[in-house]
Amino acid sequence: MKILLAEDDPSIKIIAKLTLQRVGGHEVVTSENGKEAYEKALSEKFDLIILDHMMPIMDGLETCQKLKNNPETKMIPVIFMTAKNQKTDIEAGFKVGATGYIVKPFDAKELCAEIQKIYSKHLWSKAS
Amino acid sequence: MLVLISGGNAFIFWNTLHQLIESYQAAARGQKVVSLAGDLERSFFEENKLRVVEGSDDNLNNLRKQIRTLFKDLRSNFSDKESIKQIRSIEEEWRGAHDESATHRLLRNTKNFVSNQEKILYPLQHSADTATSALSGFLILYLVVFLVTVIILGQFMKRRVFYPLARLSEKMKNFQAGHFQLPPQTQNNDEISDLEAQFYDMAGRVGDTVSDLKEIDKAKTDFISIASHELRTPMTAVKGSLSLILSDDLYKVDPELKELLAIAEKETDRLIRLINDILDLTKMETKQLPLDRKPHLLGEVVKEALDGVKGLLEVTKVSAKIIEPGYPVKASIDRDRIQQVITNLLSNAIKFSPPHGMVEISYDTYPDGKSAIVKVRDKGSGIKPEDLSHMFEKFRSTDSGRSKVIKGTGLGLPICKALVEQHGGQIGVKSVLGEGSTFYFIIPDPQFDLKKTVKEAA
Repeated sequence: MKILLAEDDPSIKIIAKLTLQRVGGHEVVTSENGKEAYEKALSEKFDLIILDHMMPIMDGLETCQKLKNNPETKMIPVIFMTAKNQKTDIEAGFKVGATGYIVKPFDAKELCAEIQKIYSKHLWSKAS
Repeated sequence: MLVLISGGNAFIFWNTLHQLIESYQAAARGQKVVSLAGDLERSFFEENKLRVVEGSDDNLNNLRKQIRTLFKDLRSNFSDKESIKQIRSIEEEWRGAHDESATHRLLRNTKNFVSNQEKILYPLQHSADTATSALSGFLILYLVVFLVTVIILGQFMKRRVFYPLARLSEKMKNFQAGHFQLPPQTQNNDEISDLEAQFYDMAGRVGDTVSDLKEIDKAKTDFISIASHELRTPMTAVKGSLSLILSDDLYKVDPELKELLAIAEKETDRLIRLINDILDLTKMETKQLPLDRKPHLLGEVVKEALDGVKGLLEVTKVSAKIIEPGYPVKASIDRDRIQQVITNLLSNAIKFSPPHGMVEISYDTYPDGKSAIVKVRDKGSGIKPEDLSHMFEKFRSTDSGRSKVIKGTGLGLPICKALVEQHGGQIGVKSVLGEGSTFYFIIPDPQFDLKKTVKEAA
């Protein structure tokens, strides 16, 4: 898969990118905030977008909303990756069109397994 | 000779004459005069040698005759000039009284004479009557003044006492209901204003305390929100790095180094659990963890919890089994939270079980019929009696060699207690040293108040 990863923390960005590349075998493009992620989503074709919840300039919820409102990007599944695991935050994510949720901290294998599970579910629901 | 002017005789004379003339007047109008003799003062007539004319059917003539006789007898009996003068005066008037109005005038005059004699004869009685009339008048006046005073006083009390008290009471009720913004204080110079001033002062201090508490609450909420993100973010980096390095020989790592990194990863996991537990407990204590209660089959929740500890069962070589009641048991619960409780109790039971030991988990309807009960039983070494009452305290660990190998955060049981109590339920433990322990919790139906004393549950 070609994955767009939006994460403002440099350490987590590197670790997540390496994990997805080395463990998952995916192609990963990164961005540091929601605005940059949205622009990249319009200019390149991605299979999956991973958004951090709290980012500068434009946060994860607003970015997801914009992606889902744009016909060019609305079909790309979006997964939230965040340290905020309150039910209200999770529900807010699903409300703006997210397909899945990963709570930090994550294990390398867990991250890849979860990504795969969510993406497969998305393909299944798209097919049906 | 008798003096007619004053005294009892004069009174009787004028009174008698007045009565006679009245009777004459009534007879002249055609009214029947019942008893002429009965109206006369017989003793007066006898004493003064006055003749009484006995009545016949013609009352009018009889009356005229009686009056004429009376005057005649009086003239002969009373010799003093003044008396004679009075008698002649009345007699002349009587002789001139040919019509109703003249007779009426005569009556009035005789009545005046009677009244004058009453004053002379009975001064005290007259005074008393006057006094009585005066008193009655005074009483009426007093009553009126009293009523007016009561009304004025009532209005005064209403405006100066009752209304201000009612307003103050209203302010107090509003304050008690949580409306801390009070209206402007009234500025009268009286005791009620003083009372209001004291209330405002107290309310001000309470309001300040409430504001402080709200700020503290907000600070706690902000802390949880920040801590949740700021603690987990670096832990993500640490955990992520370690798990990546240790992941399936991606990197060539020296075995000794790998072992050290594995220890780091394990402790990182423990730290993450501790952070999660602390944040959870803080949220519960500040009531920021709302429950999503829905009816669920308890059996399914128990099974999912058991699935979650399969890894631990394998590592510790302990077995577990579910004892089912034979019928579905439904409970209104937050599924995730109760699963968390059961998982916690199972983890503890597994940790405190010997290798190849058995952990039993059972669930059923509580004897009251409105609650559900879950029990987790281990056959470990048991808990000392003096430790039992402290089991649900934070960071309390019992002295067990095995528990040091598989370390908990010390917050598992306090979190279980908080979650169960948030459901309106109760949690407890029974243990026998050397035989094992049973942890149990009871979840009531939301509409049902579980009694404080927990009946025999184990």
